[in-house]
Amino acid sequence: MDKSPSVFRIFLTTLRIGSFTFGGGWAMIPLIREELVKRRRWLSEEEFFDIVSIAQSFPGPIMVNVSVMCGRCLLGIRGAIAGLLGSILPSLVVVLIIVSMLTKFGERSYIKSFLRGMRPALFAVLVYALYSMRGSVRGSKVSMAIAILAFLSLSFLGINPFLVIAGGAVFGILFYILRERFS
Amino acid sequence: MKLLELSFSFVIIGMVGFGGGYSILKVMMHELVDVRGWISLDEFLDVVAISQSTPGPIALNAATFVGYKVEGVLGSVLATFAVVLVPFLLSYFLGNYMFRNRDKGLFSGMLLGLRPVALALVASAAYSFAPLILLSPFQAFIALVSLFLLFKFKLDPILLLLSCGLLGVVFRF
Repeated sequence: MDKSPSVFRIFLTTLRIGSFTFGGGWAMIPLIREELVKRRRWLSEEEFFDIVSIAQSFPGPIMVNVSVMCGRCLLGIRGAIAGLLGSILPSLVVVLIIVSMLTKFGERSYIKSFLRGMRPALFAVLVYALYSMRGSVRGSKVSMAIAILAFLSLSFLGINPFLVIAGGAVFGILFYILRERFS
Repeated sequence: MKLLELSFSFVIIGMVGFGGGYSILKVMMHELVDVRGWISLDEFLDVVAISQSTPGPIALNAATFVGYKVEGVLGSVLATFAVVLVPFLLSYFLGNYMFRNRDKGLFSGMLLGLRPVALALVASAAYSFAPLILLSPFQAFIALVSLFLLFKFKLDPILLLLSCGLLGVVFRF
């Protein structure tokens, strides 16, 4: 199999990635690795690791960020656009079909029952996700304080989430600068 | 005009999606349900359920869903591109730079502050959903069983969600 990257091949590969990554989040990193490092051999293990760690520090879906960066590494702007389109197309098409069916058939449809049935599990999955994120506050009083303050602002003071996020970012940067200066 | 508002909202949402997946829920709930009123809370829960059972990350799925509700197919395509605009630009222009320089400096400082905020965002989303789910005894029971299966047996969340969906079809929720 010819493995050299072309615009079309980048599109197809990221299309595959976009089709099989359910839910989102970290769970799909091994799948993306399988595709880009093992199957296509477009990236070395080390390059992939670097790209993922950079992708994690940017906003937006990891899958999209990784696809765009990988596309750019391989073929510049054309590769990046192919990566973007490939990674978002499956999600766009599937959700468009579901939302149009949901709008057409409405409250009494099986789709609606299916979605309603998922709600309790959804809540459980959220609580579980919360538990798996506990590492980000463990062992640091400052992080713990930020988390508690942010939760109270969001849930009880009704402060705009955008502001809370901006606050967290600004605080992090200030903290970083101060620590660099005094150490 | 509506298309413009839609794009603007999703560009902004796309800028703050840090920390993977669920942390964006609270932001979207605020912007799409409370501020804009484009969808109801009930529909928002549908969006979350859809995003868990279809390919693609939640912010993308929500953009497609809400875009369609507001302005049909055109709105949905536009919103979907809007939400990935900033991530695309950052990955394209900054990704390569960081790849070469490995200098994360300020970025890593920012993430230090954002990680606990991401946790708070997920907690706050769970807190807003709780009354909707736990008020019905049957749903509360399923939620408890689900928690047990997740914590005790490390059940695959996707499998759990889909099984509960089927349960919903069988009992016509």
